[in-house]
Amino acid sequence: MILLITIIWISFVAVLAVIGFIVLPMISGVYENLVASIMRVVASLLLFVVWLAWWAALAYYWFYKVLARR
Amino acid sequence: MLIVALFFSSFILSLLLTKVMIRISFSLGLLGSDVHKPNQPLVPRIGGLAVVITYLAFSGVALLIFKSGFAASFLIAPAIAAVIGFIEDLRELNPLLKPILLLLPGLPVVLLGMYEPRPVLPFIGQVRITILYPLLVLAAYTVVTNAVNSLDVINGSLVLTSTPPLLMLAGISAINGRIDSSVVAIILIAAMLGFLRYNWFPARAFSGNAGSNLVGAVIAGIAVSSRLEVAAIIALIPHIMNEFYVLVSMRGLKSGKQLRSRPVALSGNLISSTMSPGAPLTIVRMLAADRPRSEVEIAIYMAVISAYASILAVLTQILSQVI
Repeated sequence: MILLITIIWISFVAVLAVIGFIVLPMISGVYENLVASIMRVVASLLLFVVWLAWWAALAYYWFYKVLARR
Repeated sequence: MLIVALFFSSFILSLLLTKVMIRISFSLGLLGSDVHKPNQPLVPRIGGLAVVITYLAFSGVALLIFKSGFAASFLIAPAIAAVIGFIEDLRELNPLLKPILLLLPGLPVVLLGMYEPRPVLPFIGQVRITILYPLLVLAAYTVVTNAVNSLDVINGSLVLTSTPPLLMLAGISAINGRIDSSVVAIILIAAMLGFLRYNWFPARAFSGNAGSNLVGAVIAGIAVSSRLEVAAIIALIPHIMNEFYVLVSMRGLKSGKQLRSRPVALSGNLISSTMSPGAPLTIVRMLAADRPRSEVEIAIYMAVISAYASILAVLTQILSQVI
């Protein structure tokens, strides 16, 4: 369980950092065209959804692996 | 000295009030069955009101003493959350309505502007999200209160899993010069420890939704007002994990009565995970996956993972400031 939480922590911080870099020009007030800004937001949301799906899959994998050992 | 006096006063008042709440619960018939005991005894389910009353009284005094302008975050929002919880203690709420209602505690915080829309992200630093931030504040209240509520499933688990995040928030807030945030966290910890005397195995009082909602709203309030959003999310990983996995495994918001099969089974005094693929994936089910465990063992294990997540939160906060 401790290992699972560590993996989730590392991946969350990494995803947060990547999302931060993707949307950085928008949040720092740099002028950019609308399409590029929308693409940045969509890419960030997509990355977050993929991470959520991976997070859920990881828990199921971990749980059934431990259960199988029992 | 003043903080020590507030701590012990909160502890004693909560201890005495919990006893009163137990009597009131019995006289009004506000009882819930303790499902993790072989004979499923009936236990008073509004014991958490002792924590609510103690916290609101002493944090009100503390905010006056420390001349804090964050009454919306530390008093009004937790009080609204506790009232919503108390209504749920009296009558079951629609599982879809509950998260919407729990957006309400965030409203006074947003309307009175008790936030700084510049969270500090690890590796990135301070970011400005003026439009999005108020919406995130509202979402934070419903997510955190629901998440804290969802881990209040084992005797003592609410106190044991909420104390490490509150200690972490109190410590970092004090270092950052936010003494008011730190003091309200300490008052809540003291009130919860007084309540723990009756909530520890075998429980003589449950906190109910009023108590757990208040704890969640205080954590959200400290995180938002002290700009410790990321640290709070990390410290609440076990809580958020539990809520998220239940949502995913049950495919949406559903009440406990809609469960097709239970996540854990009881054999004697031991709790074991069920094999049913239709049962929700909860933290308790995960902790009892390798072997059957006693309720006390699971409560202590939950406290350990919560403390570990809070240590990771401190590490993240150091990373955010150093890098």
